[in-house]
Amino acid sequence: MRQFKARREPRSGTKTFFEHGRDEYLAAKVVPWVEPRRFCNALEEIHTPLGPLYKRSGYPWITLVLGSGCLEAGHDISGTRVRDVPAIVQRLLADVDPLPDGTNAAKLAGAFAASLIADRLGPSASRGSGDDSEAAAEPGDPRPQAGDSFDTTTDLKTAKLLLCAALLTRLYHLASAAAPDALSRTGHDRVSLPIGRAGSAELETDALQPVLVLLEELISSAEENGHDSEDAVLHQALATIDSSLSPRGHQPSLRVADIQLLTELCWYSLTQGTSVYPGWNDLLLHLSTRSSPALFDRWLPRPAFDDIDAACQFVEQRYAATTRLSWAQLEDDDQTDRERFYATVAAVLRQQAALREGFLQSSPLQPPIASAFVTSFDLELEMAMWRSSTEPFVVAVPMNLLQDVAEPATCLASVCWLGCLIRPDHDLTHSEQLERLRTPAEADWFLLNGDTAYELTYGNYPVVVRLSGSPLMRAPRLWTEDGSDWNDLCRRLLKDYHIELPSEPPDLNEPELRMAHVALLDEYSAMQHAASEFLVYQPDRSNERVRQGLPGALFGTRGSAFARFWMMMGVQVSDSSIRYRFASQMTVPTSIDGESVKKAPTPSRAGLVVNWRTDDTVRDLLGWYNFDVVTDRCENFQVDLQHYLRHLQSTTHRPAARKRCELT
Amino acid sequence: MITLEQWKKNFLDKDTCPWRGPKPMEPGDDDLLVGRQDDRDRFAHEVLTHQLVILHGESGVGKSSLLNVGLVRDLTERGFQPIVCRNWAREAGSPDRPEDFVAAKVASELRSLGINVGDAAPQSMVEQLNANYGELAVLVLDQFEELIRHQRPFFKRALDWVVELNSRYDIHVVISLRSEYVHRLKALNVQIRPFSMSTFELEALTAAEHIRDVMASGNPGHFGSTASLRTEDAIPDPAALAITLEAIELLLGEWNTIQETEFGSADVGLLHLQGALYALYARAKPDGTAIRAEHVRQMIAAAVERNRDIFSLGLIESVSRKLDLCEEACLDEDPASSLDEFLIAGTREAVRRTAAHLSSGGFKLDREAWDLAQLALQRELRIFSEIEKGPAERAFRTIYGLGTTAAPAAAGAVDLLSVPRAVVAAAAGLRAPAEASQASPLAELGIAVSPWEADPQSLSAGPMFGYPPDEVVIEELRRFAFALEWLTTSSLIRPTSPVVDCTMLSLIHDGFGEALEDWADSEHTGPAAALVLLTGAQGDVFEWVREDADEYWPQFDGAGQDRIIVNLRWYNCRVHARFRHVVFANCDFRGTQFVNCSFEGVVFVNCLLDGAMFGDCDIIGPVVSAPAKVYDKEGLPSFALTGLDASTRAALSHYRGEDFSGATLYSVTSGVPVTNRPGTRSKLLDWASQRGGLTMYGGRLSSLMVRSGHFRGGGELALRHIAGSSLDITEQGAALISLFGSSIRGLSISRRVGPEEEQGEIKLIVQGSVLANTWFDEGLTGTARFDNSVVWQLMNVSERSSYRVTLENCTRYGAVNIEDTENAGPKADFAEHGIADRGEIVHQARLMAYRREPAMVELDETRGQ
Repeated sequence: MRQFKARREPRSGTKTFFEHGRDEYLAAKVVPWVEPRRFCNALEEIHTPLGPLYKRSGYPWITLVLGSGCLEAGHDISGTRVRDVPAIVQRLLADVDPLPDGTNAAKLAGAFAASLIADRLGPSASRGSGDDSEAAAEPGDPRPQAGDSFDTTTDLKTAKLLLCAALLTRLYHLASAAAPDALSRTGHDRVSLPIGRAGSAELETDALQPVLVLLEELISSAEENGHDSEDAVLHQALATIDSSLSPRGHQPSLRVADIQLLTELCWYSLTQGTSVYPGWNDLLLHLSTRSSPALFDRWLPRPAFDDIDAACQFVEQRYAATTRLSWAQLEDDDQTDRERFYATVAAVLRQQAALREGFLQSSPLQPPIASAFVTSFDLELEMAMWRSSTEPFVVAVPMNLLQDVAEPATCLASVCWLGCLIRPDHDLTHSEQLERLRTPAEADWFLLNGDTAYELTYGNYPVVVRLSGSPLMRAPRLWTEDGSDWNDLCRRLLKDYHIELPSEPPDLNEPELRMAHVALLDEYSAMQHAASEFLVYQPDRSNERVRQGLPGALFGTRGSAFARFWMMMGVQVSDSSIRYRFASQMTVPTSIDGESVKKAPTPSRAGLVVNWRTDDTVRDLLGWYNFDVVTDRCENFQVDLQHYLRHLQSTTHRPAARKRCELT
Repeated sequence: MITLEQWKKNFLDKDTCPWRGPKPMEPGDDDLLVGRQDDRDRFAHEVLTHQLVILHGESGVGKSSLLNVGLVRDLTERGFQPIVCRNWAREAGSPDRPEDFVAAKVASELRSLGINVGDAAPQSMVEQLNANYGELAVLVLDQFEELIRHQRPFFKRALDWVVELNSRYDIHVVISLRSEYVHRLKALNVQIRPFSMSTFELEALTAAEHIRDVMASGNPGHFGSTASLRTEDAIPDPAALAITLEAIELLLGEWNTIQETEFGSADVGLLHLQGALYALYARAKPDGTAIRAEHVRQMIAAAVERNRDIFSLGLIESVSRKLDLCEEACLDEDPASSLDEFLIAGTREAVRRTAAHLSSGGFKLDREAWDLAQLALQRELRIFSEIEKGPAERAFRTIYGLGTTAAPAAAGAVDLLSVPRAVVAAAAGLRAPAEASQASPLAELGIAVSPWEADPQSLSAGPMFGYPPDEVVIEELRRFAFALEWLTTSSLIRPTSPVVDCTMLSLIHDGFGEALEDWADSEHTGPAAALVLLTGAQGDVFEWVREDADEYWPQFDGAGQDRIIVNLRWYNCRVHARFRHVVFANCDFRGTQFVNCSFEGVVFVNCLLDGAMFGDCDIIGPVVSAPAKVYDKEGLPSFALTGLDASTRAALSHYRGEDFSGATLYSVTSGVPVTNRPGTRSKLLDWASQRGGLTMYGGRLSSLMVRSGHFRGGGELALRHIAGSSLDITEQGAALISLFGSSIRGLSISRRVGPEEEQGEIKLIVQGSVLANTWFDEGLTGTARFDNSVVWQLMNVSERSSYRVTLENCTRYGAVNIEDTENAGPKADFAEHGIADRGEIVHQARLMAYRREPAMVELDETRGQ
C-alpha cells in the first residue's frame, strides 16, 4: 500500500536541533575529514540533492531574516554595563533593615537582579554578575557610551521593586513547599498561603509580612505617580498581588503569573530608560503600558491598540532616539560588533544583487533577487545599506490603506505592500542622510503586488523586506504635491483593490484615503497579513493572476538554478505573531506560486535558525519547514557570512561540500 | 523558363520595401519587432517561472513574430534550449499513435537544431531531452489551433502528452494559439500540476510611441522613432530616408484618431499599419522619394473616397501590391526565360477566383487544397466534366508537389512551372498528350492534331486550342497551383498538412480576407482573364464597360497598331465592349452575342461565327477596299498573320511544343488554331489592316445576324472570303455592307422598325461572291449592287424605286424586282431535269453547307470529293 508521508523533515535519526551552537552544527553538517569545517561546506552539502541545473550554474543563495536578536550584536543591553545593576541595587538598599529571618534584603535584591539579567540576556551577559559586579562598577573603566550607565536608570524605587519581586518569589516557593500541589496544565499556578494554620506562623512573619509592608509602600508610591501610564500598570499589578495576599474573607493566595508580570515590570523598570534597542518582549511590555486596555491576564502583556496609528506612533517614539544614536555612532571610527554585523549583511545583499545584475532577466541562470527580511522595527539594515553604497535599494513595507466609509470616524483598512526605492546620498550631512532615509521622495514609492512587473522593473535592486512594518519611515501620501488630486500611487492602489476613486479631490485635513504604517504586534494582524499573501485575484477579465502579497520573486527562486537558504538570525520566533507571519510567508511559494509542487529536488534543509533561546513550539513549527535550529548568538555566525561574502566576490566562488575551502 | 525557386527569388529581390508589410516575422527580423520589448521580457519571465505557458492573442497580433523573433532568441540567450514546432502536417510515414506523432515532430525539430536524439522511441527522446536539458528545454508548440481544428483525436492525445510532460518532466512547454481556441485547453487547468501554468495574452500594439517606432523602423537608424527623437544624433541624409518626419506625424495623427473611435482599435491593428506603410512605399516608389506627407494625404483622400480609413485601405493596397510583385517576378531579365502571359494572367485570375473561397463574413476559412481547387476551378471542371475527379486530383497533387499515399511526391523532382504535361499525365493516369503525326488529317494544313479528334466538344482555347481536355486540365491545375504559390509567397495564406493526402490552406490573418476580396473585385472588371482562357468560355457574360464609357480597355485597343488576338473561344457568350484596331484570328465566337459593342477597325480572320449576333453595335469608320483582282475559287482562303506579339507567340510555342517564334503565323482556315506553317496551302491571301469598320475575313458562318447596327463615320461592315449560310441583316437603319469573295446561302436584309426618320439608306455591295437565296425585305431604301457575282434567286420585296438592286457582270438564276441594266450579265436558268455545270454548284454548295467542323470542308475539297 502506498504510504503518504508528511513533508515534514527530518527523517528519524537526523539531528536538527543544535543546542550547543555553531560548532555543533558544523560538526553535524560537514564531513569529519574536512578541516577546518566551514559554513560553506555545510551549505554545499545541504544543496547536494539539487539537480544538474544547480550543479551547472547554481549557488547557495543565503536569504537572511533578521530579528531583534541581531540588535544584541555589539552595542545593546547585553553589551552595556547592565552587569553593574546588582551592585547598584545592593548599594541603594544598603540601609534597608534585614528581613525577620535575618536575611540581608539588599543582597537578596541584588542576587535577584543578577539572576534576572542572566535570564534575560543569556549566559554571556550573566558572566559579569555576582562577585565581579563590584569590580565592574569601579570607576576608571573605559567610559561607557551614552545609555550604558545604570546609575541613573536604577533608582531606589526599582531596587525596591526588585526586592518585592524577590520576596514574592521566595514566598511562592516557601508556600509551595509547604503544600506541594500538582502543577497545572495551563501554567497559571496559584499557591494558597496556609495562614492561620498550625506551623504557618514562620511563613507569615518571615515571608509574608515583609512583602505586604513593601507592597503597601510601593502601591502608595505608584498612586502618587498615577498619571504616569507605566506607574498605573505597576499599581494595577501590585494591587492585584496585594489583594490576593490580604485575607479579606478568603484564603490568601499567590499566582505565578502575577509574580512573572512583576518580574517583567522589574526588567522594564531597569531597561526602559536606556538608549539601546529594546528586546522584543521588552517592546511588547513597553507598548502594553501605553495601550488600553492591555492584556494583563498573563505573564507577558500583549499590547492591544484600538487606534491603528497609535502602535506605530509609540514604536516610533520608542525607537527614534535609539536610531539617531545608532546612526550617530556609525560616524565613529570604532566599529561596533553590531555595525560590523549589519555591514556584512548589507555587503552580502549588495554583492548578491551585483551577481544577479550580470545575468539576463528571466534566465534560469540568473540568481534570485537579493532580498533580506527584517522582523524588528529598527532601521539598522537600511542604515548599513545606505552607508555601503550610493546605489539605490528597495525597501518593501506593509501598509494599511485607510478608507473613510460613510459612518463617521470609521475607516476600512486594507493591507497592502508598498515598495520604496531608497537612493543613498552621501553628500548630505550625516543627520540629513538619516532623515532622507526615513522620509524618501514621494515619487519613489510604488505598489508592490504578486505580479511579475516587480521582478522585471526592480529585480536587480537589493531589497529589504519589513515583515513587521517600518513605522520609522514616513508613510507616502496619496495625493499630488499641490493637493489638488489623487496621485498615481493612489490610482494604482484603488485599481488593484477595486475601490472607486473618490469623486472629490482630497480633503487634506481629513483625507478620504490615506496610507498608515503597520506595526505587526499581535496574531490577529499576522493573520490579516498572511491572508493578503494568499489572496489571488484576476484583475478585470484578464487571465492574469495577481496576488496582493509580496512578489513571489522576493522569497522564491522563480524557476532559477538557485535555491534560497534561509538564515533566520535572532528572529523572535518564540512570539507567535512573528512566527505565524514568517511561517505563512514560507508557505506562499509552496501553495500559491507552486514552487514546491515541482518535482525538482530541493536542498536537504531549507535553512537555519540562529537564536540563543528557543523552545519546543518553535522547533516543532520550523521543523515542518525543514529548518535546523541552532542555539547561539547571531554574531557567532558573522564570520560565516563574511566568508560567504568572499565566495560571492570570488570569480570561482562555488564552495565544495567535502573539500577544505581554500578561500580565506 | 524560370523555375519556381527562381520565381521566388525574383519576388524577394523585388520586394525592397523597408517595412515588412502584412506578414509574420521570421528569425533574423529582430529589428522589426519594435514596441514589444516589454512583452518579450514579461513573456520570457513567464516561461522561466512556469512550466506551461499558454500564449494567445488575436489573429495577426504578432504571436508568431514574438515567437520567431523574440522568444527564440530571448530564451537562447538566457540559456534555454527552445524547440519550436509548428508543422503539424501528417506526412507519409508519420506515426499513427498521436503521442508518437507529436513526439516525432519534436524529434524532427531537434534534429534540425543539430541535437541528436537518435532513433529511439519518442518517449525515450523525451527522457533524453529531459536528462540533457531538464528545465532548460522549452518546447514551443506554435499554431496549436491547427491541431485543434484539423486533428481532433490527435489534439486530445497531444494534450495528454503535454500533461505528462508537465507531471513527469522538467521541460517547459509553450502553447501558442489564437485566443478563440484558448477555451479548448480548459482541460489542462485541472490536469496539470497546480500553479505550474500561466496564460499570457499578447495584446495589440496600439500605444502611440510604439506605432511611431514601427513607422520609423523603415528609416536608417530608425530615425523618427521615440528614442531617436530624444537623442541628438545627426539627422540622416534625407535621400536615405524611407519616410519623412512629417509623414510619420501625419500618419500617427490618423492612427490616434482611429484608435479613439469606438471600434477603431478593434478593427485596425498593427497588420493594417504595416499594410499602410507597405502601400505608401509602393505609392512613393515611382517618385523615387521617401514617403512624404503628400503621399499620406493622397492615400487618406483615396481612403475617404472609398469610405475607409487609410490603414484599412493600406492593407488592401498592400495585398494588391504583393500580388503585383508576384506578377513582376514572373518576368526574367532574359525575356525568353520569362513566364508567358497566359500563365501569368491565368494565374492572376486563379488567385482572384481562389480569394473568394478563403474567407467568409470577415473570417478566414480553412480549405483543403484539392477542395479549394475544385471551388476555384469550378468552371473548368464543370466544362471538362468527363474527366474523372481522381486523376484530376492526382494531377494537381503532382504539380503542387504534394505526395499522396499512393504516389508520394519525389521531393524536388517536380518543378511546378516546368513539369511537362506528359509527366503529370503519367503520374495522374490522365490521357497522355498525342504525338504529332503526319497521319493527322489536317497535317497538310499544318495542324498536327485534328481538333475534332483531340477536342471533339470544342472546349479548349487559347494556345491550347484543339488540345485534349486532359491536357488543358493539367495546365489549368498548374495555374491554380501557381496561384497558391503566389498567395503563399505573399504571406497571405499558410499551407499545412495535418494528415497525409491533405493540405489545409487558410489565410494567415482574417483581415486578408476582405483585402483579397476587394482586390478581386477590382480585378474582375477587366477582360484580361477572358483573353487568356485555356478552357473556352461558355455562356459567360462579359460586361466590359469602363467607368468612362468612351474609354477602351487596353487589351481591346490597338491604338493605331493591330492588336492580334488568336484562338479565343467564347462560346454562347454575351459581350459588351468597345474594340478598336483589333484582329481576332481563328477565334470561335459561335453563338456569342456582341451587344451594344463598338467596332472600329476590327477584323475577324477565320473566325467561327455560327449563330453569332451583333446587336445594336456601333460600326465606326470606313473599311479599306479589297484588292479588286483577288478571287479565290479554290476553297476557303488562308491568311498570313504578322505582328502577333512576342508574348503570345512564346505562349503558343510553350503550350503547343512547337516553334511559333517566327514573325509570321498562319490562319489556314477556321475552326482550327493558328499555325506556325501554312501547310500545303500555297495561296495566302493578303488581308488589309483596317482602321475603321468591322471586317470579317474567311471563316464560317451559319445564322450570323447583324441587328440594328449603327454605322457611324462612314462605318462599313465588310465580309470577305466568308462562307456559310444565313446571314441576316435585320432591323437595320442606314448601313454600308460589302461582301467580297464570299459564298453565302441565305442573305436577308430587313429595315429598322420605327419612325421613318430612323430609317436610312442601306448600301450593299457584293463583289466576286456567290449568293443563294437573297431576300430584301419590304420598305428598304438604298441600293444593292452585285458585281461579278453569281446570284441564285434574289427577291427584292421593297419598291424598286426605293431600293434599287443592280447587277453587273453577274450570272443570275432568278432575280425579281431588280434594275434592268445593260451589263447585268447572263440570265441563266436551271434545266428541270439536271444541272448543266454541276461541279461549280457542288463546290459552292460545299462552301455554303454547315459543317460541325468547318475544316472538314477543306478536307473534302482537298480530297476532291
